[in-house]
Amino acid sequence: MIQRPHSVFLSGEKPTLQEIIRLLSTRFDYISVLGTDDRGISYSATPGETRTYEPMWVQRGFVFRAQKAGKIAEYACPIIGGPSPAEFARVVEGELERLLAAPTAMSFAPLPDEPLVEEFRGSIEEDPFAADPEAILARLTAIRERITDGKIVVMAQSRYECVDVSRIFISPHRSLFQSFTWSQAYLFGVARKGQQSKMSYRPVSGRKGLELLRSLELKVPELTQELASLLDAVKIEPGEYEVILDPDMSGTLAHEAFGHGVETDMFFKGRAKAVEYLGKRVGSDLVTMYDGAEGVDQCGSFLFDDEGTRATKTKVIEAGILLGGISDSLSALALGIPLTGNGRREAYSHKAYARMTNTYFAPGDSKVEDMIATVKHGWYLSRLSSGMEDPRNWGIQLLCMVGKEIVDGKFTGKVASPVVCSGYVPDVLQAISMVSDDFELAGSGACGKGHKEYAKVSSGGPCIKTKMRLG
Amino acid sequence: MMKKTILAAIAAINAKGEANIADWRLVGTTVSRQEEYFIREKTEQLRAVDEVRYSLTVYVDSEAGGKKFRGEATVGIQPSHTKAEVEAKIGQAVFAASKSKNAWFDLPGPTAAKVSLPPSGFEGLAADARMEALRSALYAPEAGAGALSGDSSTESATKPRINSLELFLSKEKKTFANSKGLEFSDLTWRGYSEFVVEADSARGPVELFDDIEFSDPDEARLRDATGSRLAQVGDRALATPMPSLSDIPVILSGKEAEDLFAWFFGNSTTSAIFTKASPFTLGAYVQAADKGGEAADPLDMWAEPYLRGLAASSPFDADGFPLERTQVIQGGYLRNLVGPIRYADWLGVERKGSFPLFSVSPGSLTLADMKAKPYLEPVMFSDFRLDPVTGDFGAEMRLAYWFDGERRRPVTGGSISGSVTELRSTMKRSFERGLATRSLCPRAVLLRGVSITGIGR
Repeated sequence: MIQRPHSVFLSGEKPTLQEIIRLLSTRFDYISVLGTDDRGISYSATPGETRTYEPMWVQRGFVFRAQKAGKIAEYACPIIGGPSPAEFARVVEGELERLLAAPTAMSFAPLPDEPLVEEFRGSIEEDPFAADPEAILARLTAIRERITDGKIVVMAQSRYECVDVSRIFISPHRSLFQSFTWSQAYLFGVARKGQQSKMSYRPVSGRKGLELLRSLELKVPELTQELASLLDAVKIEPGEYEVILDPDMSGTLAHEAFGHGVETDMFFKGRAKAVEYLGKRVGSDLVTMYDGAEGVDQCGSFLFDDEGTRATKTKVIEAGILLGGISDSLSALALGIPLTGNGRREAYSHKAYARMTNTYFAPGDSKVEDMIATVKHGWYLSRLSSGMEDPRNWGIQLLCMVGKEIVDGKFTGKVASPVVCSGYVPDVLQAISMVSDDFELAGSGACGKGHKEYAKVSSGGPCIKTKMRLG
Repeated sequence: MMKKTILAAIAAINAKGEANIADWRLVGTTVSRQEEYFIREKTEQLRAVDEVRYSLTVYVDSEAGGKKFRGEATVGIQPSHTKAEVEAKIGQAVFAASKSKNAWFDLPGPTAAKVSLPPSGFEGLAADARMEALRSALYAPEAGAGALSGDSSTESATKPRINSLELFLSKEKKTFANSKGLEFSDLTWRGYSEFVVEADSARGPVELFDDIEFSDPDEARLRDATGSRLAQVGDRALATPMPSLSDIPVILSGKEAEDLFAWFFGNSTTSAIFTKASPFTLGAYVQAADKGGEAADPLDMWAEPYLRGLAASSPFDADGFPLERTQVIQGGYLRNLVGPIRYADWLGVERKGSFPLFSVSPGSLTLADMKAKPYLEPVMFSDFRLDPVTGDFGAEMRLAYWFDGERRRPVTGGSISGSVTELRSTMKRSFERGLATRSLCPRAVLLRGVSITGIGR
């Protein structure tokens, strides 16, 4: 295994940052800085073209946070400039003081700054930054060409991207440093009959390096078969059905239903119905759900969040009872609840919000084949395309590309695509009657807050059997 | 300063002679942004952001079997990168580019813009007045300065109000240069606000979420954005469960109507056609369903470099190709392909460039005609999704209006699904048009044959 190095740039700036924080600590009630140096590389293979570029996650910069008389402000900048730390400290102070002068700004309890000095360096098997680009592009080209037959599958594209995350957090009493790599890869295919096109994909992800591509290569045959079946896909007769959600779908149900719904900035804004249900039943006895950057190793794992809070693991629901939420520091201070290490930013230049990390249902004790055998008339749903939360009114929307019909406990061979799944969250969770004994997390793509503020997360868990409205 | 460092690094790499950078493109972006986060009338937090970044694309040529190839790689360069880091990053990009062997294409040379963009209204406002002008316009409907479109009895019963609102205003300066001698710069004001409105109902508070992008302090447009949602959230408070309906036309409006038109626009691009992601071909009739037949409302669509009020407006595309208003679809026939110039070259069609915006001609039905007979009009979804390749769409409805021929009532829950490929020949668009996120297009589209899932009787 190859241990990831800390950013040379951030290591070099550390003494300067410490000096700026020391100087500013006399000017504000609280002061901290988060420094980021996330580098990355993307490789793509599309018909007739290969390309190399940097993914959207690449960033390098700093965000200073200050508190004075309860008010909180932030100033983000791409560089520590000026002839000396003292000079730049004056620039930062000027920006923060200007913002803190706003008369309508809210007042918060003091931001915590208990002593903590810690660091983390992740490990991978194959270093993508040291690999030969030609070999990577050749593998991606081979993968996409394997499924493109020109008759059924008319086009395919493949992509691999990796990001070396490196972040430093410094406050008067904290000094934290973390560096790790995550990767994700995709294979998309388009099947066509006449003017009708159908698409499906396979994603792989993890805090891994180039070794991830081997997992993608193994998925080519199943995608080829699936694309062919989608050309005969039917429309689902609208109605409520028994459904079995695969781990990606069930994880997204957890994510959308009670992940976003327990982000405590939603509590603070009065936007979360979950507040009324703390300590109350929201699902069947089989429902236990977690969120945490600690405890599992996937794309949402880290040592500390973007506010300098150490990662934790939060049990959100235990045996159907809602226990609590996941917090950023401002909403935690406003509500008087614990900080859970969920204050995350899209980049140094973005605000920190309460965000998920790795969100999942705990596994149960059923076998997937036994779950299928109990379905009278329903659908096995997979290949998630999107999900959306409704924290105030507890609607749920999941869209997927593949539904496989089950009648009397057996697959009929009929496939539906796409499938819109909806329902009222407590009804869907109360209806969970079986949970499989396997467990799988996936962290491809990104999670948004509303329609922006993208963060790497993972979700998943077991397969679950419940009831949803399909259309 | 950084530009000189980058160009010096390019010259140094070429001087070494190991791998020659045949061409390059450098885009520098400087952003200064103000951000305010409101929870009701209070500000949760204020933020100021300065960003500087450079994007460098290097092109490396090669030959094999008498054919010329071109590879490319793009890297980001930050102002904190040292000279040695810049040289290392460019060196890695050159190495990566030398490993791609795509068909050759040329970059645009020096040329003048074909359209000029007028300055934004933000230029005329003092720095401290800009955010306040936006805040007051967005909050005006709640404050009663603008009438909500719902009836007053509904408003007093449900008390529509803004729960929270985020406001961003960026001043973005972009400089473009390439190895062919093309250089230009532009200044863009990019505004964005997302907001949550709420109202009281017998079941507790209900909410709606929306957002708006803008490049001008257009008070009327901003007021309408929050005002219309405040009126609708009052209706959501009174909405009944969506019944099971069939054989009723569905009216999609606003951003969802735009998404339908965007499917045609996206499938008319050189990139989609070259990669075969699109089933369209130049000159083909693109409104025919598999069963054939003429379109009920033949489509006329233009690619637009500029639409007043939309921040994506630009006189040049990402390659530096000058953009000029171009008709893409005429009477349902695909007349011109727009999109990245490399794919135009590879397809052997005329270069038109990649456009940020589009417009669609007025349709055959007025909104009044469209709504004279029974319909279902969803106005807020959980997350409307239309697949840009397959044309399949679907979403759960948070608020819809159902007109049964006698009474129009708000309904909630349930979902719709369908496919543009199946509905494109029968879709009818409204005569009235409006500015959406990336287009000027008909305000509404009438669709027959959409699948509807209800939750009530």
